[in-house]
Amino acid sequence: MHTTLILARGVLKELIRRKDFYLIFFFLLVIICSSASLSFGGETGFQRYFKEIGISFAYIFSVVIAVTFASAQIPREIESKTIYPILAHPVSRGDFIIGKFLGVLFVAAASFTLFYAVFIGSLHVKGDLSTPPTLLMQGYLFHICLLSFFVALCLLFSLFLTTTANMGISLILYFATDWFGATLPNYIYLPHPELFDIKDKIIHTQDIIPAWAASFLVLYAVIYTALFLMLAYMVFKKRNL
Amino acid sequence: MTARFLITAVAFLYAATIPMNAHFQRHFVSGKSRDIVQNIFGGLRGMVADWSYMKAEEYHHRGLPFLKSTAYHQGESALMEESVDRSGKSHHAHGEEPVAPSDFFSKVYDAVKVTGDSHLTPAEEKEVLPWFYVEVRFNPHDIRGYILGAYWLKRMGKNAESLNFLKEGLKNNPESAQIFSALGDYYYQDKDSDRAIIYLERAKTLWSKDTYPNKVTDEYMKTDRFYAYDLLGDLYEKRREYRKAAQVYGELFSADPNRILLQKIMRLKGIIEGK
Repeated sequence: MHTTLILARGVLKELIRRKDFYLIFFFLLVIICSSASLSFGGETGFQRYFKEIGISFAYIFSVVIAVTFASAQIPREIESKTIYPILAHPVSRGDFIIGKFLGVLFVAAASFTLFYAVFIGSLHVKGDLSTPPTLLMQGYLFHICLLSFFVALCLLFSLFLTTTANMGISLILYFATDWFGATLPNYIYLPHPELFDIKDKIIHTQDIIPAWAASFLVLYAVIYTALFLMLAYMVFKKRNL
Repeated sequence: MTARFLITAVAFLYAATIPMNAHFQRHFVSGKSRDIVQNIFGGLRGMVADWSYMKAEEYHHRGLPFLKSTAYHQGESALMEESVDRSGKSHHAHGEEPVAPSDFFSKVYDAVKVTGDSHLTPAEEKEVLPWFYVEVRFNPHDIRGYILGAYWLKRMGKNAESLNFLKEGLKNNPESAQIFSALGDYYYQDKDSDRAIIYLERAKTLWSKDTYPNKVTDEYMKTDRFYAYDLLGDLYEKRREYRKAAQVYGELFSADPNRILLQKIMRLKGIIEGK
């Protein structure tokens, strides 16, 4: 467990070192400010539009961070050969996968927490308190579930794909399921990550999600995450390093 | 961990996901035969504009996704229905609401997604406006964005803003019969018949060419064309220019024959012939 946490901490340090996080955060601020100032036909103060832009970009940017970090972790360790001293220590390949997963998930969740805090803060600044706080918290929780899903999926893909291809495919999967998930032909053998997206409920101030449905979604995320990590471990275990 | 255990665990986890997904399938509606490839390669701007239009429709239905909301309206757009209705009131026809299954998975879906069809209240209606703005900013040749945006501005009592938006649309689409018709309609409602006739005559000329972007391809365009000719005919009648009015109705009749038009033509012929 200790070695897993050390690996996870290494990923977190990477977030602080890298400049792209600060750039993304700056972009988010610019986007939120510009959407707040939108005026059309002499009308201003479009609450739903503002919520849509704020929450969508908080979601998208955190997925971008999750995907870019998760895609690069294992290939970079192998490329720079730093994986050998790590595995030479008493670190099992399972610990390595779990450590990387926890690290990237923590990085993605921390970024999302900041983005979401900015979004909620901006709602307060605009005086829009129409959305129930419980619904906002559920939006936060389900997106963490989604991040967990994609981090595990990217770690699995990174064992087969180059970093760039992995990022591309994972982001396409995210956008495709989020935008077109409800219009794709009936399928049951593939996951439905769009179920974690409740932003329409938040934007249009609908009812909160009942506890039993929330529990189901958390279970759904846990099972898929475990499945992807298990597959990643099986592939990584067989890898000749 | 043995390989057998791992394989069993993976198989178990995967098997567990299938029943979780099984009952969601009834909620997935296949979209109209819209060519996604054409959308993607036809230009990202056009795609964003189309997406903005769908967002406006979604907002009008309080977050109900576009395809679901059109399913409630027999495949039609409520925004378009209301704009061609021109009464300024929200009373478009609702189809029979799909009966929601009551099993556990449907309840989960209903709990996390917006599935019920309801509309914005008059006080909330301004929330659809930003999407028309985004629609025409991304695609200034999106005539539908100008027509609908102007309609909703007018519906909120913002007549001057509505006129300006239409004029902006005309600047970007100088050959659009729909925008000329909408401007003619604006001046007709404003009782400025001289200007209304100028715009409606131009609209009639463009409609009669029946070429892009004025080719009548759906019921909404057909209604717009009918309305433009009808207003023009009415204006000529009010000016006692019966021959012109009969000619306008006659032209429309040859393109879109119907009994009401025929009655108007017969009535005008009677007046012209002094009966």
